[in-house]
Amino acid sequence: MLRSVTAEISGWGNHSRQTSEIYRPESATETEQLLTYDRISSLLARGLGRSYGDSAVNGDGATVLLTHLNRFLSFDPETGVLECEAGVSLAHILQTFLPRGFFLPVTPGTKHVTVGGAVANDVHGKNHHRDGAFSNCIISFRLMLASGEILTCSRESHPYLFWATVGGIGLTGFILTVRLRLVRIHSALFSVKYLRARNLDEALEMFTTTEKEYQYSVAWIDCLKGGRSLGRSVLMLGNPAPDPAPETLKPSRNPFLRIPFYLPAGTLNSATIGAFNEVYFRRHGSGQRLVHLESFFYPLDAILDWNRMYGRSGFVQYQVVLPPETSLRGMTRILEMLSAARASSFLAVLKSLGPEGQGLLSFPKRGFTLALDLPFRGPEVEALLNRLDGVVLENGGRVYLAKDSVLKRDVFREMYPRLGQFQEIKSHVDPNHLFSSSMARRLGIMEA
Amino acid sequence: MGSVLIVGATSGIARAIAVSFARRKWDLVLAGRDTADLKCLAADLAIRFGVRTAVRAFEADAYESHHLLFEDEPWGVSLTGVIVCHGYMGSQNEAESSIKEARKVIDVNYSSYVSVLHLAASYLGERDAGFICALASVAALRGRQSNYMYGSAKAALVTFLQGLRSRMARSQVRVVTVLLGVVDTKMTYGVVRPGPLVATPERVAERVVRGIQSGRDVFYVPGFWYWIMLGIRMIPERVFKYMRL
Repeated sequence: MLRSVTAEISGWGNHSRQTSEIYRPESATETEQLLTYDRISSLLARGLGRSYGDSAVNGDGATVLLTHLNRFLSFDPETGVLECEAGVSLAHILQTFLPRGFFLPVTPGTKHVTVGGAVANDVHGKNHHRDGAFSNCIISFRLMLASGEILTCSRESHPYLFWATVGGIGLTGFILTVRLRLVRIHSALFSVKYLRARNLDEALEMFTTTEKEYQYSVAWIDCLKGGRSLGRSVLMLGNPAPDPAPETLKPSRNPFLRIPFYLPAGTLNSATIGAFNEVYFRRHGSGQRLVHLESFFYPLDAILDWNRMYGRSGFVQYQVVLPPETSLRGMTRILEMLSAARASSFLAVLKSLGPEGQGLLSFPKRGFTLALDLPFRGPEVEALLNRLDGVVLENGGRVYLAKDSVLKRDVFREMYPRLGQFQEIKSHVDPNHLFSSSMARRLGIMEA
Repeated sequence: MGSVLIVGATSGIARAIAVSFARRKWDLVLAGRDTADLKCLAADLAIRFGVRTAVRAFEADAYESHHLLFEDEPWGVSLTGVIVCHGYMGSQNEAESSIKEARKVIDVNYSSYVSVLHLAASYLGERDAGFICALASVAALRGRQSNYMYGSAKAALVTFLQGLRSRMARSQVRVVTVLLGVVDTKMTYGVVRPGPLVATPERVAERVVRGIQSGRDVFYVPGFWYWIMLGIRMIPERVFKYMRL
């Protein structure tokens, strides 16, 4: 019988800690045993815990760390098809395959996530407008259902289960292994162009006009500016370095900084953030540079445990997508409301998203997405975010579940209209709701 | 490089030791009970390091089949090293009232080691080359009320290895005893709180491989356990017996 550790856990945002029984199986065989333990009321897989809110937390139930299921199972250098266990991290993939000239077709803003987590959240990257979400590079995966049966799911085989699991935040079963496609690259360097946008309107315009020319795009927004400079940004547009590129395929530098302990809660305030923003805006104004992919794709990975900068009370990340036609209006409103509430965001990121995928609970859809980090100050912040949720809903947008911790049930239902289909599949493969999470219960995901 | 047989290769430490050898381009024969899981490890090592890997079924209590490990040579070449890693912590409480549990702790951690290590000694002895390494524990060095069943089985193993080392001393076969401290594995998960005294399997594995390669007979991993155990062994028995350790 596998032992567990009772511990308080939270998402990457370090707030709303909940007590859970933590298991750490080392093989598929051990993982299967967990399905039959009488003392386990509900189960949820967890990887490296980079989801910000409560989607990878199962308070009062069992949270299962699958990080020890981390082996590569097959790799075909001809096609770039890799099969691995779900606990393999993107960092591990890069470390192994970057030197061989392979890269991930889609990668989120940190490499410290597991492949299983990337599937379960259908994560996206700076190239969503061009290449879609993470599910686009997934060929198939093996899913262990509540019954213990293991199904290989793909677009052809058990497609409904495939699309319920992609973005399904772990509620359909344990993703055991994943087959995905890597892409060839000749260099780890990317050619990045920096453009300054004076305000939000100009930033959105620039995304649209440069979309065809650049595979990767993202903008950093200065949230403290108001009035005519509201939403002033620095756009970063990237492409793989043009041939002949310098033949460098060296993987990561090691992180150069670690936040060794929780900093005092007020470290990030409007004064420090304002000063940082001013420097950042001036330094990254314009120009074009060759940049290593690690610093282009994973700037924050250079600082280990950076979430401790927000102190013990933690922080929330708020990420929403708005359709193209309402983006300017909706985001202006959001930034104004934040400013009125004197809630300063240290990191604010804007990017364009392409067409919606087929994942039933996947986040991305066509439009623009805005992501903000806010220090967590209890009910006050929750109330503010709930007001913002209202604006997002009004403008036909939705909130990203991988980041969320405060969304209300009725709002969630309207934002995710395919929930009904998800529920139908979920009740078919897991009628007793053995797989559950704090988020699932908060949002009533299993309730009709 | 040569090839190493790892017995009990599904454990966290064994997995990490396999990685450390593969990184140094050794071929690996992985033996254990969960062969499906070992195939995953074998594939992983082959993909990451380009080494040859083979999987063998091994059951600690199936004594009559242990010899197969040494008869079925993959790739038609002799093994150069054997590392025995399997283990069973068991329940001290249960073992105090159940001879079945007590015997299981003794059998897995000692009797089956005797079987495998004698076979390894005769196999490598015939070739007059190679190394035998067994993972013992600092728990062997002093009997404590909280796990003297496991500790005493490991103590028997330590004494056995001393004798075997002496027996093989005039040959080219080396016998290595590793005294492991507390490692963050399945065996200790939920028993020991993570902290500075608890080592990661990766760190431990590197030390074990380096220790084997450096030619030492007996060593502690991590090394600071030498000092801890020195202190613990110096406590007089009439005091120690009252200590809740």
